[in-house]
Amino acid sequence: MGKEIVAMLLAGGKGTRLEALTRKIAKPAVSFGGKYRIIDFPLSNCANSRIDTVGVLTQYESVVLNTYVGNGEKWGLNGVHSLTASLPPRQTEEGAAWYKGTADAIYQNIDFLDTLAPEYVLILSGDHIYKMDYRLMLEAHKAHNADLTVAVIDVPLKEASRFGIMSVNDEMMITKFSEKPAKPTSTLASMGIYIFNYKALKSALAFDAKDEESEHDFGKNVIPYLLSKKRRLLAYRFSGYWKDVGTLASLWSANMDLIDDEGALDLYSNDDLKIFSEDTHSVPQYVGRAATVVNSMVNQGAIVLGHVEHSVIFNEVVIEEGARVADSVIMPGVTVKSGAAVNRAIVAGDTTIAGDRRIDGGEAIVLVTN
Amino acid sequence: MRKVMGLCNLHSAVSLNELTHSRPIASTSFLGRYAFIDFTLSNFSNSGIDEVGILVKNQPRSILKHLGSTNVWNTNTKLGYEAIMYNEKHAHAPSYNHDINNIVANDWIFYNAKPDLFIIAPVHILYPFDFRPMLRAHEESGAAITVLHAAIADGRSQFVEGDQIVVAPDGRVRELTINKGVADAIDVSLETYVIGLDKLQELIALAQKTSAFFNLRDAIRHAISIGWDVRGHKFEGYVRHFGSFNHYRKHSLELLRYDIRKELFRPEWPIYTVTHDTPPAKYGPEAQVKNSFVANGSRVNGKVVNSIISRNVVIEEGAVIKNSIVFTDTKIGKDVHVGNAVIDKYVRIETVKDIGGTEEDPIYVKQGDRI
Repeated sequence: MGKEIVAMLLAGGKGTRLEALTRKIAKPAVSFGGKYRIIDFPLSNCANSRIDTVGVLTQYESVVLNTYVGNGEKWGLNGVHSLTASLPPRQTEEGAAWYKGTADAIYQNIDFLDTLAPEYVLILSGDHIYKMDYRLMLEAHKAHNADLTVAVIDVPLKEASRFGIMSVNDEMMITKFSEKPAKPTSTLASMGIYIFNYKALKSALAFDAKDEESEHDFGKNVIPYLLSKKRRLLAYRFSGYWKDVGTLASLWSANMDLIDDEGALDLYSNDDLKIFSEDTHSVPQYVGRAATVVNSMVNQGAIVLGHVEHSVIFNEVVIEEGARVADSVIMPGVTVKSGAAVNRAIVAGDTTIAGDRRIDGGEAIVLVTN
Repeated sequence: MRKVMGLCNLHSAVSLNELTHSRPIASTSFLGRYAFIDFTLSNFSNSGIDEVGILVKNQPRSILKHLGSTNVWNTNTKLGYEAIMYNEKHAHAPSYNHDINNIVANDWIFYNAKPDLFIIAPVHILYPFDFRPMLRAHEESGAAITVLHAAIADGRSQFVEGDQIVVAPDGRVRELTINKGVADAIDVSLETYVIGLDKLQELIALAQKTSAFFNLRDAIRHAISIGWDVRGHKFEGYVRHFGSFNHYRKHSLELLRYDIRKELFRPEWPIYTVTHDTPPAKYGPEAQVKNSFVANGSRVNGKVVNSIISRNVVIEEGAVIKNSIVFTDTKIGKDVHVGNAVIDKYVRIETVKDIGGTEEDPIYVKQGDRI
């Protein structure tokens, strides 16, 4: 008997809008929230949803990501019934090709899915910060006898043209889907989370692969194709915190949400949706005699001797006495020297900020690297 | 290839009074993040020793909970292991529940693991140490047993009831006695021994022939007296003996000093522990934290000075914690003042607004109490 559900996590993107943060690592590997990487969120969600089989499709700078994912141990996805596989593009009998789009990436791994013979396939992306129990979505998918269920969230109308936007009928069945429409007619946005019946997925991907016009993208090609074939497409409404962290500004503000809005994404509650991550074997964090730390999150291994306000401080960060950090995200291994001031910035890992520097992102957010 | 097995000896540990009523020191919380056994296991791990036996004396509950089924300390998770060695036959007979009988009950280490050398190390003496030079010195000297020792300058207050040692200039151990706290400048044994497989079996036979109550230390002492070649290996650096509740508090809080902390925590000598996947600590708008350790998962919105705050502790607005150690999952409510205290796990202090001891006589609050 095959698996009931297998998750396929699309983690191949560079995340160009994160600028130098993704110069050497893929976007899903970018640091978030004092101790995490973005990919910890979907992988922890899988673990908490008791999904035990996950394929992680990597492409851009895949070594760091493949190494980080490993055998899934960080998320407990390495048990006897579990399987975690990193799936970068590979050479086969037919030749070798890069993943040409989200749909093509899955299609190139159909043999992997065939081996597992799942009833359902959950498709995720490594770009979002949220906590979700996918089991509830699967229940809705089954209850509606759907071929595809798309997780949706309400977005403000002015932002709707950034998303895949859909219209639904009274039963939440999707009647229309447009990827990044110029003039959106609905505010129901796709979260890029799909549950497919595997058979429906496989045949749609096979069709899409032969279509020379296709961009091999779920939103642009596969979903419209299924709609045109009158398949049953359900929209599953999610009401929790969900944030795309594709730009420096959104990455910064998602970090700040952790401080400002406890209800938004509560990492501290016992809601059975704990986010797992790598353990850094750091020493306990130390706050010095002259330090002030307010409205902030600080991870183990950090040493704060200066002033920290409204900021997220990662492990092995040193804020020297006389240094001031406000409204900023300071990634692992950064040293802010005495006398330096950092405001409204994201400081990339292992950067040293000299004592004479005054950094201020102003209205925007500035990225600081070595 | 020489094979070395580490034995983490919980039999030689002493009581920390209140703190160790329901747990051995091995699994007692330290610096808000560790258990004592982490330091011994990390010494083994960082020294490349992957096969480890843990000689559990009693109270196995919290040891088993801490170790669980993880392999935090192993390099190779198939070849390496931490095996619990427990002697249920004698667990409730204090005179017989000693390390020699535990090893005898777990004699698979002689027939199955079969290392060439054993390193036996305690958990109540804390020191970061690479065992490899000591192993080499042991082999080069041809000694029957090599004992790790250190010179201390405060023998009246430190290592009291611990092992005093006299090592002759030629490196031979002349004497092993109990430190009665009458002199300051003394040499102490770190209760850490290197011994070959045959020699350990010989030592056990010698002990059993002499007295059924003999523990490892008694046996080594006896072996010295009948002329065994027992040598010293000198340790220099951070070393602390945890012999009492006050030692625990003092040795914990002194690590707030950077000059002391950097001796124990060295970049090339990481201390591994079990992860609890807690989020970073959160500081609220009213937080005032000075000279303190704060562990992940904590939420601080009060004042914390010269203190150690463990995992998942909540400190509400207006609360003041000074010179204290707060264990995991404890809550200090609004406007509560705590001074010179050690507050165990799962405590809630909300009703009584002022709790404190003195520097010499700190107060202890039991696990799970409501105050």
